[in-house]
Amino acid sequence: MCLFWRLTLQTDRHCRSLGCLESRKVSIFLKDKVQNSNGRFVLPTSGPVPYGTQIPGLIRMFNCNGDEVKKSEFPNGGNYTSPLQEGSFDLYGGRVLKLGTNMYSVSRPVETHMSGTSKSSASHAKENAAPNPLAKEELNLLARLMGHLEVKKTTGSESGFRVNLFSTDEEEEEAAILRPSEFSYQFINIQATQDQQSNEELARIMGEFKEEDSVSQSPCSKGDDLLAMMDGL
Amino acid sequence: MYRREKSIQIKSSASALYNNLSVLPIAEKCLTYFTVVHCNVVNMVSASGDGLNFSHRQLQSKEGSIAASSSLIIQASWCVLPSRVLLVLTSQKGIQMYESDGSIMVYWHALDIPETPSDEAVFARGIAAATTLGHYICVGTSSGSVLVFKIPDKGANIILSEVLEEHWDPITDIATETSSSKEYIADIVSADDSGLLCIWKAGKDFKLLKKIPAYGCSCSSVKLWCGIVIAGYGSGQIRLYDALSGVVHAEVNAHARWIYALDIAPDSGKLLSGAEDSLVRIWKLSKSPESHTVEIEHQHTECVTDVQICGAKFCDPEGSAFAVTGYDLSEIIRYTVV
Repeated sequence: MCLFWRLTLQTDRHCRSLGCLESRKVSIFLKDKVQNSNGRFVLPTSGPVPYGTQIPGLIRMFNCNGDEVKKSEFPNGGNYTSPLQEGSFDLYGGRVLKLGTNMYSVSRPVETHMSGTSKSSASHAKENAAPNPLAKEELNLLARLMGHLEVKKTTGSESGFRVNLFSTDEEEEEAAILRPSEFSYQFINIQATQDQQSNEELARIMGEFKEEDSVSQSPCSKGDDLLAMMDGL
Repeated sequence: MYRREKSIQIKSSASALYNNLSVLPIAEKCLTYFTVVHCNVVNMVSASGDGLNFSHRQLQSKEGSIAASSSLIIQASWCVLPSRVLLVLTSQKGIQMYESDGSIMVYWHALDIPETPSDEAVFARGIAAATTLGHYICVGTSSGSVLVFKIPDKGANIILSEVLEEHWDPITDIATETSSSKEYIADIVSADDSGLLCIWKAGKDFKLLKKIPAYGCSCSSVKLWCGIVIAGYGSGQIRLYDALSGVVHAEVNAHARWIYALDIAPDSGKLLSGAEDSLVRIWKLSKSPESHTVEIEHQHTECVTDVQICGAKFCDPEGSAFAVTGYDLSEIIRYTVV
């Protein structure tokens, strides 16, 4: 299995690399010191050797019976360490390599979900049982935007939605730290609830929805109604 | 031990292909020819002995005997026969043979390309001359066949004389016995993607002498010297085998990445290896006549920083100079012994 994958990758690499790299520099590669300023990719002579390769340096010599008769070592000119483990080819498993992961993600995880262990299967089950807490909030927002939900201010600040264009909160914070100060901030205000024209349009669409189900008085359950309606569709 | 010389600039960079450098020293004219493959073109440079004059030529892949093609060239290599030298190009479409200076194409052989395209690539790769009992050029294909062409002393009357079917994976490299002594029975060794090696005796009908099984890794480059098979693998290991018995003489953990090129200097027994780890290493092979053991020792390492080596060749039979190409590098790097 391993030979097949390595060959496939090698053939694949041949076919794609038969063209020129043309020394294109990629900023994230430069930042991560994976590419030089001259465009060439860094090939370190240190670090772990790939799975299936031995650390260079050993020469073994044999006689015609296959017995080892001499061993010698040579300086390998680098600082190599033990081979990597073989990555898993199963549906779930540690891949070992970063190939295929998101290179823009800060944490760059290499583990996929392990469904085999008891610990994770328990959490899996828990996830399936509990409904997504955000779903209800999202539907409440939809209902509010359509203008049919009284805004009930809870104690403290309004629990609205904050849009984060990064995958995690840490990435957003990190990007904020790295952001050059000379770029000024621009705030864009989006008033989704106050546009009279769109409100009328939404009200008309909402009217089309109101058919069979009785409307509950409690504002918080509008979300439930919409959920039930959508399930019915 | 070796000192880096001034590089030779080439018109386009080297593609990441195995054994992507061929060298032809022409002692009488004090010239050295080099070829490096880039996509569908072969860049040929002839360098004068003083290293001052260069002349460039480009050869293109063909479709049929005339039409230029965009099909990729996989390998280019000179074949030295007693009566003539031919430059052989292998591509995804076929095999082109030229006079040694690349001026005239003397032969075109089209590969069998299936009408319904399959998942597997079709190409020819692996080029070697055999000179026992006739003059032949052997060329491998992606199906595992080795095509044997019979070459006349001059002219274009080249014919396909035999097809050897012992490999089931694409041929990676073919090598001919490089020692000048006539005592060695094995003439040719062919290697494939799975790591299988086949040893042959040349002649009107080629004879399979030995099959050396794969050990789990692709063999990208192979050489034959004094009855010793020298094989470079994707694991970074070099193995020496006895050509007739298949016995392993030595295992060298030579490189940290895939080996792309090997070359042997027949007069001295020096071995050159180049790999994706950016290192080029020189080794010395020696045969002890009494004990019939073969020894190999490491002599020298050169690091071509941040360059994946894809071609490495000695420039003379003693091994006093060698040249190296790297993926996406538009120069031939040269070293001479000090």
